[in-house]
Amino acid sequence: MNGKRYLRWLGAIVTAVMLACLPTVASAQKPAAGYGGDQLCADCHKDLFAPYAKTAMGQAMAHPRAGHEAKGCESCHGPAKAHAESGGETKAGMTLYGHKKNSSPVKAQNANCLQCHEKTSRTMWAGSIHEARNVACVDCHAVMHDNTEKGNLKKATVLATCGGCHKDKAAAMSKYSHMPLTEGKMECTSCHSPHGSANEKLLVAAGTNETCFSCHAEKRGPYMWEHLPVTENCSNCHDAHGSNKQRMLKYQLPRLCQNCHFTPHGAPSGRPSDQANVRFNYNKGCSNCHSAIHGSNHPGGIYFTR
Amino acid sequence: MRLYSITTACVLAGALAMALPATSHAQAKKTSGTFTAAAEIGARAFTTEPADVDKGKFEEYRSLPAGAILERFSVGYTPADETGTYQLTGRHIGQLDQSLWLQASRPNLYDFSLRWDKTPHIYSSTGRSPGNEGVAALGFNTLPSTRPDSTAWKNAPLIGNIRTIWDPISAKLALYPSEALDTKIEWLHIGKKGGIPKSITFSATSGPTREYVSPIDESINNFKVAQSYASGTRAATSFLGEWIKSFQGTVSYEYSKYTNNLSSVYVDNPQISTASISGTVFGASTARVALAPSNSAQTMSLMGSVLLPFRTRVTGSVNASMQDQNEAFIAPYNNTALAADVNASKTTLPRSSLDGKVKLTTVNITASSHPIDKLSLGAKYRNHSYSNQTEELTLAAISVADRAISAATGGYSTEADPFTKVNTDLTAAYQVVPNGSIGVGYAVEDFTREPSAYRIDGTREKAPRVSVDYSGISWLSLHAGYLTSQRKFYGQYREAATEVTDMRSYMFANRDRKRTNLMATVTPFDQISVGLSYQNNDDKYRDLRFGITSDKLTSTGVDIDYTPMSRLSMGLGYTDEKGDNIARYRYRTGAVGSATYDNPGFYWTTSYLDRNKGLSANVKATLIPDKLEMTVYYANTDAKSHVLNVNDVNPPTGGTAANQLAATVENWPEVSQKLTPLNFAFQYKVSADWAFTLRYNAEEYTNHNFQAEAPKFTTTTVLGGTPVATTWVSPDLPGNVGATTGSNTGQYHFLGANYHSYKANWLTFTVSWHPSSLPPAAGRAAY
Repeated sequence: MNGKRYLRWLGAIVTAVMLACLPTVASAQKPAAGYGGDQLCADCHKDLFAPYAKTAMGQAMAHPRAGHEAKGCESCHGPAKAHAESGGETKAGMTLYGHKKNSSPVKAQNANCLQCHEKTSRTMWAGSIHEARNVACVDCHAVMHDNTEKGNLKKATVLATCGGCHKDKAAAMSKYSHMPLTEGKMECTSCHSPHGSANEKLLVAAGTNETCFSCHAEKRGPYMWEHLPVTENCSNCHDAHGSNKQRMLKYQLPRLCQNCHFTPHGAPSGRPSDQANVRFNYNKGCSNCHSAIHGSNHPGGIYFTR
Repeated sequence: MRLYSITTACVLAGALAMALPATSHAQAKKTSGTFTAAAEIGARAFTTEPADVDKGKFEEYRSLPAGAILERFSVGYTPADETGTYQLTGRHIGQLDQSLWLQASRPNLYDFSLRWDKTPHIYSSTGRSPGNEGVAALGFNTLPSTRPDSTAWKNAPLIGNIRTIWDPISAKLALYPSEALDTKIEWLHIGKKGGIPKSITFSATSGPTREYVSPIDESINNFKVAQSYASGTRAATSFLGEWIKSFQGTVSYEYSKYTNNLSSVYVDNPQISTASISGTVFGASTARVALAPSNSAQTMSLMGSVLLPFRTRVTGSVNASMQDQNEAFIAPYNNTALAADVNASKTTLPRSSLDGKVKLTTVNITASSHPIDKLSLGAKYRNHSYSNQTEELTLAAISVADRAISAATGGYSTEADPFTKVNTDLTAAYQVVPNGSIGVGYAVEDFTREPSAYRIDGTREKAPRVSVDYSGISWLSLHAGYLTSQRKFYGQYREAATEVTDMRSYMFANRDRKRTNLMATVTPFDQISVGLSYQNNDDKYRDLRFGITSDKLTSTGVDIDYTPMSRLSMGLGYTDEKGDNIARYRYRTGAVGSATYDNPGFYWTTSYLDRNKGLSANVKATLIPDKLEMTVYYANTDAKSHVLNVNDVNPPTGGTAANQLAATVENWPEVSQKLTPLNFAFQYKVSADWAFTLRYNAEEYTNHNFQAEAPKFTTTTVLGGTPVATTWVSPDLPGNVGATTGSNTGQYHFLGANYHSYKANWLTFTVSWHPSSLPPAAGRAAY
């Protein structure tokens, strides 16, 4: 058994044992004063209980760690004793989810979710573009039943969820060159943090390039010969959401390069019928020769030909 | 072996994770948990199967083999207290795009996942080569010592798929030791093996050029650990409790290592097999190209957040990253004959490796506040700086293409060009009516660059914006936004003497930007939801003589979801996108200052027209309750791209007839592609435990891209020559272009890297055991 395989096995075993040996959850607490408790809710909403109990949140609520978790349904919906005792007539003091006319303000809805879900990525929710746009947690997430393998989304995939609003980006994934989102191999969240981020465009890493480098680390360098637009921003040349040009380029070759390099080699017109200059226009255009365009570590690679 | 070991590791880890909690739980409760298992197996058969050479796009990121398939499976365990999930799921087992996913979680205690999601990426299935494209020895793309002639190139055998197989494995462990603490440990490994079409020139400015399969044998390992703390709501009596309602913090460290197992690739020259530096045809017999060097990066992040009175939250973060690269340089040239060059001794490298270091620093401060219920205020500051701290390297002489050695006074120096981008943003939103608010914002971006490289000191962009959100009517939700900005460069404009004034790249040219977007969701009654969207982007680059001067994009979309009854739901979506860009270019020749150097008679305008339409429809119906379900999916994506070129003066004037011809432009053929998938699926549930599924898939793809297809070459080097019979270069640029058949003096040798059009029809029949426990289908052919 070589070293890599040994490490793989060791990692799997250690992880499994570590997971298995974690302590069990705390016991439930009594409902707080003024709250009716789950039993009251079950009198009318019994059909919601079974699917909810299978969700991760339902399981957590069944074994609460803190006071608000012990409130069960009312930890999210607010005190419902009066609601139950009135036969559903009054909803005063309760939080009603969604965007309907009688729904609670989105900020109040989200504040309930953030009671528990405020750490890690949600730390940046406050002040994020999605908060500013009045996006509710329940716009994207199903809560009362298990709907997806991860994140319990309302729609089947992350792409479908994000694409509900970002239609142009979702449509771009069907263009000639695209990353494998429609094939189910990547997700919008591979690059973006929808719950908020300190970074531009809600990126998961500090910048565009750092995000791309997490999978395309060969472009990271630093190289002996750097190509400035590359070190500055991958999106100077590429449209990460998809393009009808090769390699997700923003413009067809050689025009992409000619947008900055107005004069090299006389800046030929690039006529498809011009055999003398065919290398500029066909196949990979300028990168027929300048193939190391992301940077070169070759001593002779100053023009990215090696 | 790799598949076996990873699969076994997943299964073992899963079994242990399931078994151990079950045992401990059983001791406490004297009960046992529940095991579940599910699988979908069957067979796929094509009624119309694309030929291997036509499968490039069909299997670009997926695998669809005929024959027996294990489409999905799931093995799970739920403890007796029904708290926690332990599940191993898999898809497309045994295929090139197979995935395995182990998940183990105990709510409020931990989440663990181990995922392996193999992904093929085919770049070409049409490549031909008379040589050995690295198959015999990775990193050596050899040709027979007697170089193949034109006939050999055009009749070269197909070399199969040129592709890279990605092997991403991610392990994530999140621990929740208390309500206040989160610990996250993540590891991502991506192995990549295969090849990618690349090109090389064996001269500095002209042919021969050869496209070859560049080898890929590399891996990425990203390891990240993060610790978060959240205080929860603090008592007013605690220290500063009246001011600091709660606080949070996260500290994280990430290490990323990229390893390339190959430092270079050797590529044989298609014209000569003996190195030479003189004569009609000369250069290296074999070139050596540097591959991406191994590198690493370390990133440390600190983030803190406090909740203050008036629901004011202030968040700050500091992110520092160091990127390193210190792989040994390869030899300055690979042409043995260059040893006789008078400057050969000057190519000695000052040091053996770059010792490259880049420092990235990002500082963010964000504040949001709600001083009164109806008012939201926000402020952001971000400072992102890139600093290449690599010590400058000066080479006395270089060989850019193994053909000659160039020496320059002062040598050739590497550049380390720093930049800093500072963004500030202020925003306010006020609720003017219930569920209706107006927002305003103002953003400034200061982008400071290295003047010697970028010719300016920097750019400053100011962008005011306004938005309206309204959801006060039960059937309507509306968002409208408008942004306008002006970007201007500042500092002295420095231009090389060989250029003309007022040339600035669109990256930092003065720019006027407008952005308009509208989104509405209309729900006239519960069963129907209509989503409408409109977006208009309009960028104009002012004072830019050449390059992109105008960039416009308009997209409109509509989505309709209709669920008339619980047994029937359907959806319809349509997107229309129009791109319209205009650019100015010129042809230049002669000495600086000459009439042909900057001749208005050699100018032209290029218009890029893009049109993308997407239509999709889906229906899901329960034909027999609890027994027979039907799903239908149809989509049509139609993308067209056209480049139109027109000379300012037609025909161009000035210079020689050859100059005028070189400056003459023409419209490019339209590039288009259309993909139309149609899927029908019927699932019959025999019982809760068993179901049969029959899927019918039809896909048609058409692709026309003149740049990857055979050009209409002529026997002479100028337009108007006798066209060469296209039969021997059609359809995939198989090689020797511009040469006389039978000779080996051609200049351009292409593998052929085009996606062919295809038609495919196939049937898939599967048997599902415990279908309700199966993971969802993934991928566009599995709806």
